[in-house]
Amino acid sequence: MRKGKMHKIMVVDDEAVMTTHLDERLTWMGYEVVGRASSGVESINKAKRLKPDVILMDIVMPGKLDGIDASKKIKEDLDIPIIFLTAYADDKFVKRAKDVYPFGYLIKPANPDEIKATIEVALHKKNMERRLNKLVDKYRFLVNNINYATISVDNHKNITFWNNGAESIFGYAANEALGKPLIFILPERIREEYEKDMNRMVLRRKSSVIGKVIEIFWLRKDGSEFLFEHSLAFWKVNKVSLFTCIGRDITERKQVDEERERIFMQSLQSEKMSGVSTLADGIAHEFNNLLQIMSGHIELAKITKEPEDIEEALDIVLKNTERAAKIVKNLFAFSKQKVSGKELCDITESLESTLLLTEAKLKEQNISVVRKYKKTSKVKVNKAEMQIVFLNMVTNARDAIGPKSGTIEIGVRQVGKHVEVSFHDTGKGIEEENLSKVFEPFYTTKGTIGGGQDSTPGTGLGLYVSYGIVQKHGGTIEVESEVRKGSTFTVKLPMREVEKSNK
Amino acid sequence: MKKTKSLNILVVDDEKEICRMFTKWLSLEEHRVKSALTGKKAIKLVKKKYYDIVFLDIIMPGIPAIEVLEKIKKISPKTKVIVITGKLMDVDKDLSSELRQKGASEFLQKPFQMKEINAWLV
Repeated sequence: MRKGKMHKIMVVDDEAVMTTHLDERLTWMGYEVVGRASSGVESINKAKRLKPDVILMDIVMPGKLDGIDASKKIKEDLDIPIIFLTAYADDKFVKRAKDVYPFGYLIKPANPDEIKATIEVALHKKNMERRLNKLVDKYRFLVNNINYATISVDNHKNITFWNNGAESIFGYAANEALGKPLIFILPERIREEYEKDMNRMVLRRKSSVIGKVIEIFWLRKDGSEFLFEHSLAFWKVNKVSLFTCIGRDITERKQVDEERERIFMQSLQSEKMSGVSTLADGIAHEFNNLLQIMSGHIELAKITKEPEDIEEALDIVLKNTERAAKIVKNLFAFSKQKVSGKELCDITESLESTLLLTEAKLKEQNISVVRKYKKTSKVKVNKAEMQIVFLNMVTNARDAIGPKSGTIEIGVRQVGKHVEVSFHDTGKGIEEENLSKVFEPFYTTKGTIGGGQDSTPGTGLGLYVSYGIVQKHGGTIEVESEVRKGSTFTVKLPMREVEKSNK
Repeated sequence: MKKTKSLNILVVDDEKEICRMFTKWLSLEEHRVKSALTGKKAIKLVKKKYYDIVFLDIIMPGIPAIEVLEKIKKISPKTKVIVITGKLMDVDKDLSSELRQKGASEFLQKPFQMKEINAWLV
């Protein structure tokens, strides 16, 4: 009649006539009657042995246990749906029966259709229940075993859930934490504040901290404080407010972050210094030139008789003092110890002030600079830091070109919400396998295969620091290269902050 | 000041104002001065006319100055070439000996006093 496995039914009734009759009916309906029992005790034993899918259970039977007692025992060990089939519908039976969660309560004499429908519903419900339980188990397992502390509190702010993650982070076992007020794992000085915040959340049913990641100090069992990064969820189930807090100990990560920041700042500083020394040679040259122009024209002014010649000579002197002053001003950016803040600036301007410092050196190496500037929006950057990036880009391009002459093409353009500055050189290029390494600290090829006779050995920090700076600005640096053809480094800076400041 | 004889002088420097400075100064001494902003132009001028003295800046875009020096000496071996430089020649011994070998007679280290060059104009 039905496909596949037949469902196994066990019939428990003390009246033989009744069980025989039911047997026939059930078999006819397409079920397999795997066993019969005529007392509570017998039903328990047989259920264990036969493992039926459904039990049809009479209530009033002779012996120590009636059907309800027997059901209770069976439910302790086995997960079998039980349907009561009884002649009694008194309140006291129904009330007792409810306690064992029966899947049906049928009054004798029940008609076959009713029995069949009840069995089918019971089988289906049991099936759904098992699937649901599996799901619940899966999530319970997940929540318990993730490395994050997961803590729930009720509307009295007492802890109602405490997973393994919380155990290992805080040091309290679940039984030590459950039922305790949440604030017992907070340092005293912030307890009041935190409670106030939670009360506010209950009241308004929302909070500024919901969904955000908060970092505050919490307390371990041993009394030590640690930085706990967590987020709060707030929900209501049956009019009861609940908070769930998920978080982790970030002390170590903080230390690593701080250390990384410290190393970066040191590298930045050393890069500034090496920037100055890279520039020193070229700038000395440039200054000698300027001094020559000035002193020569002063000498001329001294011996010339014509007033307009004197005037002209002095004008030239003045103009060149301005040029010298500009170089000094740009140079200052590198030696500044304090890192100043960000300001809106025209990228081409910032680029030009770097180029002004490198001009002499590039000229000496016979490298020409081709500018392909397009108009762009202003970008909010730290000017001094951006100069380090640009200097690095130009110095690298120059070193890649080496002692022979070449070209550096600098492009500025706006692509979507980014300002892009690209540096293309006609240098030796970078092998594909090394492309991924160029931004790593201390990676350098200079001093070994790089540069001409006066190339300075590289520190291997230039691109690392540049990348860090650009990243701090929310941007990226991309590199493309072809061996013997040259490389292109593209600095992409977002304009996001500009838009904000314009509002 | 005793008048010396008038010389043909060429100044080669990519800085316009350096050229101007030489031209003005040397004109006061009544020399005939020409200037070139590039090595290419300098070579062209040397081919056309004899110059007693060429002041040649060592760092210029285009043809490397060392090649310019070589070409000038080849075209006009008797021309005295005085190399002007913003670099410290003492530091860069290799470069200065190479320049001497290629025929540079003197070095002028920027910044110098214009009075200094008068010594060579006899």
